[in-house]
Amino acid sequence: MNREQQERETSGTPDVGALTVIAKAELDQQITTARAYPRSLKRFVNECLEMATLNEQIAAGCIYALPRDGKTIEGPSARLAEIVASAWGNCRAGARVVDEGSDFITAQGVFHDLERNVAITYEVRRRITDKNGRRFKADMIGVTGNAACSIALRNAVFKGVPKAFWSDIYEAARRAAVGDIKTLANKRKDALDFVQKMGATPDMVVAALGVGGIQDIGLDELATLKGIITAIRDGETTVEQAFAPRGTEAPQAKGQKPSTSAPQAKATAQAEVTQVPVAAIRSAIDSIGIPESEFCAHFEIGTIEELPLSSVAAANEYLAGLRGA
Amino acid sequence: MAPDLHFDEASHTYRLGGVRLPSVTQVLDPLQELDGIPRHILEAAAAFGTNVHAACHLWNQGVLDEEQLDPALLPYLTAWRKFLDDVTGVVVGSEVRVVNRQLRYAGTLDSLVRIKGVHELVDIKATAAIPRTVGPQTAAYAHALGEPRIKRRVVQLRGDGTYRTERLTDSSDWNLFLSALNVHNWRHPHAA
Repeated sequence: MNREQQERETSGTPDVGALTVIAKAELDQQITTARAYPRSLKRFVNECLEMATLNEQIAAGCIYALPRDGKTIEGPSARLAEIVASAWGNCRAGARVVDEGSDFITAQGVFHDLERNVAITYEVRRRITDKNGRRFKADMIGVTGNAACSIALRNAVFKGVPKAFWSDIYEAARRAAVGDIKTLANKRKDALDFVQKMGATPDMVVAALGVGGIQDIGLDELATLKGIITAIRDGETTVEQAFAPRGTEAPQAKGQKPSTSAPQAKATAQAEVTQVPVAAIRSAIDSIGIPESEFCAHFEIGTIEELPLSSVAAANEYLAGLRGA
Repeated sequence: MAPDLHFDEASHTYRLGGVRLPSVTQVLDPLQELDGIPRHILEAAAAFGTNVHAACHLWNQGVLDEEQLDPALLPYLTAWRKFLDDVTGVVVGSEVRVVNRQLRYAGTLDSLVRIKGVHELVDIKATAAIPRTVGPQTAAYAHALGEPRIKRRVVQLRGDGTYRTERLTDSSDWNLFLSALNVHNWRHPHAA
């Protein structure tokens, strides 16, 4: 064997050990770099907010909504995941199809936070058969695979970057997409025109949103509608699935955390008690002269220490009654 | 509760014998920022969290007017009850004001729950994520309560009526709080 042949054979057989070392070195270098230049959470929030609310279209693309079991699930979209991953920095993210069976395709999303050395993988399965059980054609399997990858990547990113950091960005994007009450009529019309072009009639939209009529589509419903549009564009659902009649389902729950009124106490004459006054109760029992077990039996407890805070008023009444007797 | 400890709701300040003391949450405030949770998110969640705490507190005392309860708070109360049922816990203290006279700080712990014959200090959270400061926070309450070795845990109440609970066992929690207290006292030399 001459030298040229030897070299050709060597280059044709990859040295697995060497590749492993190279891959490890690359990863180590990335982690080292990430730790040398750590992210600023403040900058992350600012950049994310700036990107997600750059314009109405981008903001609308940050929301997705899907009809599931008679309800509409709304959440942050793959577009927002891209923004979050980009602004988060010091991370690697990707997705690929890992399995293609006869009925399902499986995609795996990966998110690796290099700075914290936290890696998240998330798998998503998508059916590749139609309602009659026939397998999709190759092109459609490709489209389904891409949609599954997009969802898997989104889920991995949102598992890897804690929700506390992006939930506010999502709400801001939602507000930017929907606008306010002054712009509601125009934006509602635009959204309805858009879905009509996709083949959904106003009646279908009204039924899907669970409202009485077009005029009942408020800001929250508009956000859901925009989310559905994003989900259709991303291939997560179809017009038929999204706007299928839903009977008499309840309207979608509001996306924002409700403002609440302060809870009220029942009318009571008792003073504010925050801790069971074990010593005082024991002392009262002693002074009355009944065995502690009698008191405990009355309140169905083993020891005074087990008396619930909610029974303190009743205990005081009971002891006052014994004193009177 | 210390009889000479006074709490002013409006300004959220504690005074011991007329002298203002920092609260546990004030001391840990800078760590909230370091923890990466933006301040405006914390503030928005605070009002909602206050009402959840109030609902649990009134229920713990047996005086909650449930008919008047805001429906949005009900799942959180349900989650709290479920937690107590699951651990067969009995609430023996709720919104208990505590003070550490030696180190001069005060606070209000959420609840003391008797679980399997042992008292535990339980902190209630109604936030989307459990903040890491809950460890130092509960350690500070435990020391102010005079029971530094009391078992500590956090219960995260969720809007779907479920909960998540975690034991807080990190031995560095107290040291972390002490460090934060030192920093606080350094930044506010005349407050303590």
